[in-house]
Amino acid sequence: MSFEPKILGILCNWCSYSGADLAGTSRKKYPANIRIVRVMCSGRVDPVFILKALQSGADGVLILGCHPGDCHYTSGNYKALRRMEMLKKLAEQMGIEDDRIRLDWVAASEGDRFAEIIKDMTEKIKQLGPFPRDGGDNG
Amino acid sequence: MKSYTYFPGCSSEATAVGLDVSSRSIAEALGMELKELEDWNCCGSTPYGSLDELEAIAVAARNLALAEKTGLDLVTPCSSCFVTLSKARVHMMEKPQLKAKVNQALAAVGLEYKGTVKVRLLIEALMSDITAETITSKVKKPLKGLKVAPYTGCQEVRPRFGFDHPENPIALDTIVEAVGADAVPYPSKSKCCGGSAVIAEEGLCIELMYKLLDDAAKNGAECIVTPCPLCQMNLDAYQAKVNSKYNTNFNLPVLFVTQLIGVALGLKQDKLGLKKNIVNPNKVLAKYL
Amino acid sequence: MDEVRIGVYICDCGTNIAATVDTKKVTEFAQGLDSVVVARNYKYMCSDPGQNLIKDDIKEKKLNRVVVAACSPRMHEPTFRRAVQDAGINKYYFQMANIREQCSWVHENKEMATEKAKALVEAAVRRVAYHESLQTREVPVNPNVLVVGGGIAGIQAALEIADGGKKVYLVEKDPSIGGHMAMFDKTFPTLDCAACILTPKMTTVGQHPNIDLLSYSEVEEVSGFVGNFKAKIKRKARYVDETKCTGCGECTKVCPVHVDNEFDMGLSQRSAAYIQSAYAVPNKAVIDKKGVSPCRVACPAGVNAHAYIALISQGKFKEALEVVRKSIPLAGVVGRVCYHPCETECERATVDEGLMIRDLKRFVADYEMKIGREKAGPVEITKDDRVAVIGSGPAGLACAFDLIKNGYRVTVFEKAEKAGGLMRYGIPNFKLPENIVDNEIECIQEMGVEIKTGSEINDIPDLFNKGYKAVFLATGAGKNKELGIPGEENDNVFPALDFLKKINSGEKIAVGNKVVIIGGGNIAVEAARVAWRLGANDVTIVYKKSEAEIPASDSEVEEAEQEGIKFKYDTTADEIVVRDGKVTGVKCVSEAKGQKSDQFVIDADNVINAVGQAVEKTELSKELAFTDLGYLEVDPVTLETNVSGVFAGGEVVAGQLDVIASVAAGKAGAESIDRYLSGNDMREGRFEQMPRVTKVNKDKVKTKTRVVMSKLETSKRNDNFDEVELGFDESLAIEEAKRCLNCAVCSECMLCVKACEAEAIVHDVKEQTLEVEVGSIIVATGMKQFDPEVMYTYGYNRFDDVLTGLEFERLSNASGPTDGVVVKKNGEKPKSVAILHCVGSRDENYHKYCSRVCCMYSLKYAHLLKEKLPEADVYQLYIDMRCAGSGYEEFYLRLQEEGVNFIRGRGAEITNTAETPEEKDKLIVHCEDTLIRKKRRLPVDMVILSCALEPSDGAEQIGRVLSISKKADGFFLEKHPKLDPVSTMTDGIFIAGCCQGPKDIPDTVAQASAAAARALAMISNNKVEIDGATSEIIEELCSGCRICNNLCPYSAITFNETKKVSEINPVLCKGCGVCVSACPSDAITGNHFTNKQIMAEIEGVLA
Repeated sequence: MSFEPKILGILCNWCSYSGADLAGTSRKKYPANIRIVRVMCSGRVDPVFILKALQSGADGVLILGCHPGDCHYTSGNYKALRRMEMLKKLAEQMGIEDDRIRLDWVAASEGDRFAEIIKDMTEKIKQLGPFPRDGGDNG
Repeated sequence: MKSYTYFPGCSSEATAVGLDVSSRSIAEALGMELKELEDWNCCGSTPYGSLDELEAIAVAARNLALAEKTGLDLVTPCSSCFVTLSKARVHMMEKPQLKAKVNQALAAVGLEYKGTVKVRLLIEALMSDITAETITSKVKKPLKGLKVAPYTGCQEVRPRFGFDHPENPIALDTIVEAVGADAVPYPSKSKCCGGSAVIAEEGLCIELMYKLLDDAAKNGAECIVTPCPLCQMNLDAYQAKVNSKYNTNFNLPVLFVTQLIGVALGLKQDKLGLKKNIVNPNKVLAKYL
Repeated sequence: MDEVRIGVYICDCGTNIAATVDTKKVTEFAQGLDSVVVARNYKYMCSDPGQNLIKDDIKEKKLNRVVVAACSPRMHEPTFRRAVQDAGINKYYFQMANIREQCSWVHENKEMATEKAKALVEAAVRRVAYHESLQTREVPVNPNVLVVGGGIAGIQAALEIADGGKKVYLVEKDPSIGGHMAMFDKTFPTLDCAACILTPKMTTVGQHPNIDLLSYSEVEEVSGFVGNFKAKIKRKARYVDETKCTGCGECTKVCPVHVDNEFDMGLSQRSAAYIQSAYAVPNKAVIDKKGVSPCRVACPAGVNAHAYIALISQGKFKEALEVVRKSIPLAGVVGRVCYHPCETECERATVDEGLMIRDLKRFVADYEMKIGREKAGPVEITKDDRVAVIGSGPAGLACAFDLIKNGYRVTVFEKAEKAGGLMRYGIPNFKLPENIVDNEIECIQEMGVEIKTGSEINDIPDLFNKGYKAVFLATGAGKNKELGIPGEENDNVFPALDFLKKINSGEKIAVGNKVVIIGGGNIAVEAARVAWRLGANDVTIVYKKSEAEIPASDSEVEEAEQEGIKFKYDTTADEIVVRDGKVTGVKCVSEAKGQKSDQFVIDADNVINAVGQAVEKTELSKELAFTDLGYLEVDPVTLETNVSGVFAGGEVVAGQLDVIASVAAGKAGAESIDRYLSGNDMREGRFEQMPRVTKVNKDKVKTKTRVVMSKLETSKRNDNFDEVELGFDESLAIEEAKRCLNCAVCSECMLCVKACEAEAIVHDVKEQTLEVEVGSIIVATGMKQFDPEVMYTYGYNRFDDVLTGLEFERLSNASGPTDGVVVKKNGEKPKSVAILHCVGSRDENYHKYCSRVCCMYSLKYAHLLKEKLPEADVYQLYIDMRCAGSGYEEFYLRLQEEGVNFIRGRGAEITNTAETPEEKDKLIVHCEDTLIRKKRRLPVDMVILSCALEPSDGAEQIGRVLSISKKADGFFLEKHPKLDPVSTMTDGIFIAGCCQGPKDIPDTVAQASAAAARALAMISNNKVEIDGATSEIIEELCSGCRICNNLCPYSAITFNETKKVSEINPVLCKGCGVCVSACPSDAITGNHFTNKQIMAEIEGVLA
């Protein structure tokens, strides 16, 4: 059987979660590998969540927030952006492939875009294979 | 010196010799190196596509596969070749199964199409890479006072590969102004010349050509300039027929845009293929040649 | 902690979930999870029976946590929270799993969807175990309401709330309320006139005691939260005191500036001082002033060029000259010789050519002379102190002029026989006739300035002894610089200044046939032209630099060339050749491309030295300090010399200066002297920059070059000193003045101030900020019309007589630009009109949506046309007819009976290329009539484009200020498209009208009333619940690092200096959690979104 990744999605309540709901009401189809956890703002996302998620069974982690300039709490998404930049650098050091961790922006009206992002990420993680949870060569 | 792979197209050897000769001449003068594609074949154009789509794309793809090997952009002066080759490229890009089938055919002659080559129209490469400013700086005989009606044709404004505004194209006007001439505004500039339908529906197309010529002349044009071999042939070769059918006496030379640029760059007549034009351009161009 | 007892409920949602997710399996799975006491499966959990299941289980099975797996929590979380609360447990002990919108509706693979649903349920179960009980907070609601936008939606909402007894702040960015509805002619389907039904409401708004109408204002900033908003409102400068203005309109009649009238969609003009419409509320004037026009900013003497040009364009020549004289005397002089820096700055220059500002000034001065000047004075003397001015050139006279206007007694001492300085003795008559100078000086004398000619002053202290309290020294730089080459001492070498002075004094000077002038300024060229008039046929100007660099003005050089004068550029004179005591030539060297030529000789009988001016050091200036360059040293701002009370300006300080710069120096001197004598600060306020207008809209300007001023023919100039430039006549002046773009709109000509009997106009006010506190906000910013110019084929703005819908409304409106007569641009009545539907709407390239009202208003236009032009052919090109509304379909039927031609087919193109004789001079609408399957060409006289509705221009900005989202089409996002179209995602902010989506007036009014009802409901509840899911800092864990302090967008975190820890204000905190994830000590708890809860959910979802 082919590899079916588990992808964790952490979505902010206002824009991206609404966008995901809109994809639902519009009956857009996308793979079922994504599992979504809701937070109020992408700025709430602690980088530790992402690393722990990878340890706990996720093969990829997707953080979605409001487009820059449109954050419901004004600037939370900018903080998310900064943290993710740093996390990506750390992840690179640890040998985690860039495509496994993704930060993107989805507005409440972008049901299509949400579905496309899920399809794209699922495909990419499928290509990468399972996250080497048990250490691999670099430990 | 920018280098390109050059795809002349079949008309360049027949009805559009003027286009080929002048394209090569001005490319040299403007610092574009055109390396003719080795062993190129007819792109297939409109006729083949209406017979068998797969074969038509394969025929075009052969050229693309050959061009890919050179690693350079593939540039053609003929609007129709541009669209045919671009269509083939885009269809194969969007439909992997089609690409696989075509590659099967190409494999039989030891070729493979990867999808890396860029297909460009010579005029677009001129405008983007060389730029109108460079053309102006190299003009030796500014065509001051020459009233030119720019006729873009339909291929450069196609929705997928075109680069100009379909209802109000201005790229050609920009070139006309860059060589010092006056681009004459006339409402029919974006109307059809009849294209290849002239073979089957001559009467209808003569009417279309009449409307175009009439409009251009009414608005003061002394000559027409066009990038497309088919438009050039229609408006040039059939002008006499238009005159006899409608009792008019149009005498508008129809130049290839590359010929116009060539005159402005001070190149000699024989380097521009001006003798191949049916409606004699010598009178109108006399003071610039 | 008590034992966790969880109840799990899996909803089928009919077949919405159950068709894809195997809810039975999920329920079984849930039953097996830790701490789950009961797991049930039901068809509709949100229904009453569904909720009762939960409530009963809570009571019977003593549940203390509940999980529901169903639709999105954004849908029903509040529903289930209420249910659990009713059953007696804290509502935060609830968690929802989204297995519909984010599972069953989006996945096709049933197995995977079911596995995913299980994972989501497990996640919810693990999370809810960690939930804590939280309390919601109640905050009071401020009973005031802010309504943003004064169109029909805003008006309706404001009236509803005000009638409900609560206070409303109604903010409208235009000077008057009314919005687009005020522009309409009749409204469909009843055809009542828009103004008639709207104006009573507008008047009520204007007079309602509960409505604070803030017109010409914009909301700039909003902070706070539901029930407690603080708004900063920018009140733009009206320049009219609303408490005094009576709306009489006198100012609008006298204002000389006319610009496109926005209310008439540009079909008519309005003045800079205007009242928005005949039924404006408030009925007060407003002055449209965008800053200061560039020409004014460029003038060194601060002359208001814009104002006098605007006045000339209206034929108000006398008033124009008054404007000039407000700043400077010598209008006739400056109008001939100024180097016009204003013309270089003129924005018109970027279109075609800058205005002839200088020549227009000359025109009004000459005009006054022509009709006879009234006596200019005398001016009342109000001050005791007397001031002495030494030198009657432009600097001295300008200083005296300003001083006497200020009420000082001034005496000007002039060494020469007549006053005027270089104006009289330097500039030849063919450039500046003597009578002009005489007239200007007379004018100054009539004002009361005493001019003593033939009076040389040698002793300044003596002046003080005689009783003068201050002195302005403006003695100029009248000494000719030396050439510094051999031969210059010869008698036939004339210093230019001496040469010109003698000629201008009437003396006769003989010159030979060949004259060489060395120099390149205006003086050099003028000397050359004088030499030509004295009979020299071979006149050459030798200038050391290039043609591009020659300082003489372009027109001077041009006229000299016409007179046959030769110019040798890049040439230096090395020596004047003298033989037998007579000058025979000039030895010169030219330079070209860095190469010097061999020396050559230009034959000459006379040489004129015009290399420059220097200051003559005389007895007068013995106590005064000089700079290294040989000019008087003064303070650059105050112009004071080293001697107290003695000021100086003009060429004596700066060397060769243009007349206007000298005038500016004179004015600065007068200002300094006034401050000095009044004991005021010498420098304060003298540096203020005028705010130059930068953005000038030139889109609609048609090129029109300058008018041509007639000049004396060259053949007629040869033997006389008659003036060469002949000036304008009145019609030419008005024509030129009308080219002005009115950059700043209001020119500050001040005619409105004079005309206003109520004294309501105040030109120097600034915009203000008003802060208000409100509990709720209703956004009603309306819509704007799509601009069809981008649709090239429709020819809007390319052809005359292609109109947009709103333009037609104004044309048809009895109070519009043509009094309701429908005419073409050329004034003729159209015999045929085509109305094209769906311009910009239902279009992949522009807007996909249908604008809803266009079919109806297009029918309305057809009806109005048939009414006004019964014989006209009216064509209506539609795709579908959308007439859903009360009386709408009946209206459509009526129009069919009125004989309108309905063509089902979208207009493809409008062209004016005729193909048959009937099409000549018509606009041809090319379309396909799909019902008869034919292509048609309709020759018509007029085309109306029914354009799409778009969100208004200010909507994006307001969205940012209020943090409300927009939909993909740009209109504001409502909370729920069906069940809650007036709320936004932000509590306390409501939307109404077209800002939410295109709609007609009945729906707008209904929505506005709905929004008002919501606001009133909030106010009547008197309190509002704030979510308990806020963040808290655990004092013991806080290290006082303060990283969190600056992260909070609501400034909810402050640092307690005493305790040395940070604290969060729970009322301000909105629970976003940004601080929680930033805290390095994990000292902040994000209630209801704690790390433990989130991690449990993550682990559960991945299990």
